[in-house]
Amino acid sequence: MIITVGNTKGGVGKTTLAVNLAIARAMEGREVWLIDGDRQGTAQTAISMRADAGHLPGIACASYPDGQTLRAQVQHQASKFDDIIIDAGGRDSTALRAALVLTDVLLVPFQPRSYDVWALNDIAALVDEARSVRDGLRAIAVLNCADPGEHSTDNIDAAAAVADVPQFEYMTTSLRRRKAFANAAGQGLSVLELKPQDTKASDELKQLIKALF
Amino acid sequence: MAITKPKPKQEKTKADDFISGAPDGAAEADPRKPKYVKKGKKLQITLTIAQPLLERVDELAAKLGQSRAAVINLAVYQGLESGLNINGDPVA
Repeated sequence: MIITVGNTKGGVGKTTLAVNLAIARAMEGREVWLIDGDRQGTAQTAISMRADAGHLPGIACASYPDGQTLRAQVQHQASKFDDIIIDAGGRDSTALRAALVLTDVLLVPFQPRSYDVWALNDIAALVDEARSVRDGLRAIAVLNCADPGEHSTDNIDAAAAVADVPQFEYMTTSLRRRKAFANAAGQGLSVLELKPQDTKASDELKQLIKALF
Repeated sequence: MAITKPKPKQEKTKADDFISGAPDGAAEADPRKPKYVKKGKKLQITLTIAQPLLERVDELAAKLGQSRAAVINLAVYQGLESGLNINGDPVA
């Protein structure tokens, strides 16, 4: 399955989520290919740090900031992997568009903040365009860096705002703002590998994976 | 066959247009675009020239008290008017 973690807005946690997803799937014994479609190359750097530290399983990671190259390579190599996770940069780019043409699922992380909710319309417009050139693109919005508390007003408002953007399904599983996600990804690890483990973060990631795959 | 032919240009699909429509998509050069820039009444072009030839042009320009461009223009004009020779044979 090809999953693109993408949003035209930056700073929503795409790379953190993509790295966490890729490693978690690899830990389940899947052949995973992580593609960094962002010119900043953060995911690639994180995976290099993982490799340098000798953490297993190793993650196949490639960097294709150019959309046509990304498309050609994924088409060429897709059959060799069980899961392909594409991290597509925080702006409209050829890499993000190429990913939209290829991906089974577009996972759009967004924070419960006004700017993030506004930006959903931008990525929704791209989803519309992508759907005009292909069939079967599933677009899922997932609340990331959610506020603490079951009854956080901002979380509820942000979730409700997704209903105004019909291009997206809203994923009821969300990820809270937890340092564990960022700290783990910064070392090229998933939260599942952190020691001591953050069980809440791990559970959230597991729930997300269960809902996605 | 040691010489391989270049890959034929594939027809662009809608997906290609969608991908290259991103802000970082390279704008393709328009083949109809004229190869000059307007500079007042004249046109500015790019000319590549061998160093010894340019040195001779500059020497002549200094001798005549003209600019490099004036000498090149004069030579081109006279060449076109009086005809060009290649290996002693008139070609135009």
